[in-house]
Amino acid sequence: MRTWMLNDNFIEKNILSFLGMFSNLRKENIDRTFMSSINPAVKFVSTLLVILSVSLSKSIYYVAIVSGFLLVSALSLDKRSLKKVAIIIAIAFLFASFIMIPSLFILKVSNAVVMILKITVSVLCVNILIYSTPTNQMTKSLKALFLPDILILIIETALKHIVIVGDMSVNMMYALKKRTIGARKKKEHALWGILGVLFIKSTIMSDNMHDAMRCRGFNGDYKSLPSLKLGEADLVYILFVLIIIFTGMVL
Amino acid sequence: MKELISINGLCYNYDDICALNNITLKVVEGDALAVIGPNGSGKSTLLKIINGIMFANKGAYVYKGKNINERYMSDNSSSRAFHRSIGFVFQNPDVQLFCSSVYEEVAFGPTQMGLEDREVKTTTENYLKLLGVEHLAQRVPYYLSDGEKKKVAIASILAVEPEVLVLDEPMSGLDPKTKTFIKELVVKLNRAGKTIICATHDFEYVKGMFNRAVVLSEQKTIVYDGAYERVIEDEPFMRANNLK
Amino acid sequence: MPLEFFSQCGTDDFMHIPDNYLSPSTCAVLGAFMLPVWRWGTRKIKKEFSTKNVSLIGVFASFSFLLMMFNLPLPGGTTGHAVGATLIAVLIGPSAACLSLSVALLIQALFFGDGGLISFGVNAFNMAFIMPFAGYFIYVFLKSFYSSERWDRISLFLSAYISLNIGALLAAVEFGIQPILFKSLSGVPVYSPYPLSIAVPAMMVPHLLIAGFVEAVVTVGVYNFIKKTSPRLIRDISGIKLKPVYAMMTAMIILSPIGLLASGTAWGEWSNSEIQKLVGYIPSGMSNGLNYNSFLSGYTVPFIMSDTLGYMLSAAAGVMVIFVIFKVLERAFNAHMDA
Repeated sequence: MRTWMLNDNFIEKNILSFLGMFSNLRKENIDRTFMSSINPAVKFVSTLLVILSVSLSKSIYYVAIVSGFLLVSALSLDKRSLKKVAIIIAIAFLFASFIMIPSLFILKVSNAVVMILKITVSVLCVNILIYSTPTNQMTKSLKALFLPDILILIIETALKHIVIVGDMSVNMMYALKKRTIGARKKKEHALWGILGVLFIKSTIMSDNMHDAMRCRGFNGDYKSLPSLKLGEADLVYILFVLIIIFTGMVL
Repeated sequence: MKELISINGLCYNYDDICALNNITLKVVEGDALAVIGPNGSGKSTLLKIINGIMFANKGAYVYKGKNINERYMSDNSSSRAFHRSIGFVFQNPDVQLFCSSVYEEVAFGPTQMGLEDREVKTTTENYLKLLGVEHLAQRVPYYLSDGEKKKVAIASILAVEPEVLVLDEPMSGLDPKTKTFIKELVVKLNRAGKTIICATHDFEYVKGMFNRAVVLSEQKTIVYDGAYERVIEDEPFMRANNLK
Repeated sequence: MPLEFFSQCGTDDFMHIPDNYLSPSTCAVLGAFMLPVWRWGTRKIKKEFSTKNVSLIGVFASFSFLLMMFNLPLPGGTTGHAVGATLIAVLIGPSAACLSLSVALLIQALFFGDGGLISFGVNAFNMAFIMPFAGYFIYVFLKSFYSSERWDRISLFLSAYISLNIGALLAAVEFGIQPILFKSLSGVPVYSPYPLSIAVPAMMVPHLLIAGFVEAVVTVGVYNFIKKTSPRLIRDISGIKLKPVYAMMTAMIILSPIGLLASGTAWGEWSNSEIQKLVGYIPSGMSNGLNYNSFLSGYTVPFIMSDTLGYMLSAAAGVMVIFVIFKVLERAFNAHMDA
């Protein structure tokens, strides 16, 4: 029964995906492009509105227009991000198509195509937002959605611990890789060990953080500093987004 | 000199393990006290009790005339005033850096203490400069190097301008240049009137930092309380207590 | 290499529903249910032990996130993922788990594109609300029958398995009602085109056969490890005795999705002509402004047949009732905890 633990590659996969995750979170220095210079709150709200209007639309022409607009914005991303986004939307497109194949018995091909396009366009829209916005700016943009400050602190805390605890888990996995030559049975226990230790460390860290916050006079009120300055690029972008949305209402 | 801290017969136990055994200690304003002891002697526990985040099972801790216990600290305004007066630099900086930019981290304390925005700005900028980290102001704290993190942590504690600065093994894991920087900073702060309490293992880079030392033994009691230089030079004593 | 990108398309497991599979009205309705839950949660944080809860929720949000990310080895050499909602609910309590999971899901959606933005409310409802609360209460309910270490583990196993499948069932229902409720003029489904008779088996089979077991095994495995190494961290719920009325409520909660499924089967059996009659009620003059009106139509549907409206309203009411029950139970449990 234990022989199915034969795949050591789950450790590899974990290490790779964790490292990929860190590099995603760590985009502190994004090259200055059009999209990255736009106020993150503006981008966030626009992303939501665009996805919503695509979602509500039933016209393939509208979806085509939006995808055109998005592809143009995507072009302003830096080369590396652009490559990643391209792969992501390719996979989203393939996956959605795969899911929609059985529906061809019920629907006309054109309707299935609209659905697949809508899904792909939404994925594109979100990823443009993600790849053009550094992580800490993104959390600030949540203020624009009237999220309470304390929730923003919680999100920032979570992000920080994802990096710290995640880093620890990667190291544990490297250690696991080195230690398990043969003795395959042990790895199952190691798995619970890693996750269990992550939990235990989390409780310790949460207590430590609590102590540290108390030492700094924290009493529940957290005012994160706002960053709502609108520049020219923002206004241009907002204009385009509004045009897109009105088009959606008409079509 | 004003007596700030008076600890009498302090004991701390948890789960039948004794972490501190009958500690009696006085600290006056302007002291630069080194708390020395091998691993597991209770240094960190003592520092946490001094900082009002842990409370002893037995004995008394009086800070500036006030009895510091759980009840006293459960009141928000007393707790705030206390924490403003004593600052604590944790051994692991990750534990105390929780804002998303260095600037916010240093501004956090003053903002919480209720300063005006303009004051917060000037205070923050001053302390960023003092620690030499103004160029890191927009960086995310937990991605910095260990030395940079430590400096940001210290800046964020100093920003509320405490009278007493407590540091838990501040030199651990740092490169020589940073260690020297921190030592010089602490000496400067002490000369300016701040009381320093510092747990340390590292005797190389702390010359001139301390005037007093308290040594904790593996039995969790104080076995020496006197001039710093005298105990450091007492080789047999240091070796007997697993310090050298 | 493409594997981590795969997860960034919002499709690494079927539980994270991406955008445009569900209509905005569905997302809005379920999102609206979550709003009072979140408001209540954040207010609770601000009131009692604010610092402790901020650090608790933040840190455990990161734990949930990492747990969901973790590749688990499966038979046959592939890997899978668990949600861990029951595990977290049992370890830190269901309301803290709800907030932690919500934050974890938000981070997944917003920073990694895992799960949609518009459908965030739905995902939160399924995975951050129903799953942890259901898992927790089922665990407590089952555990109260017999007191032994072995039974403790069995109850945990079962509650994790059941709660995951309840979540999957909810997702299936959410997919399955799309083609009935949201159509274009020509009667074509605009969102997920698969009716309940397809969506439910398609979602439930993999979850009942595989994902449920993965979830249960992980939950019990990690719980055991923690119990062995730091037993103090396990919340002591042995003293809680469920009064019979609560036992009945828990049973109701477990059975209600099955009730939805039963009525769903009826929907799946509608003939084409009935479906056309449904759509035919939409006045033709609405064709141009259909976008906006179809958004609103989720709320006020004067021109759709009254029994469809009835089904929708009863499903909504049922969920409201569940929410109120959970809230009441949570308060009752808290009273027990503090005692």
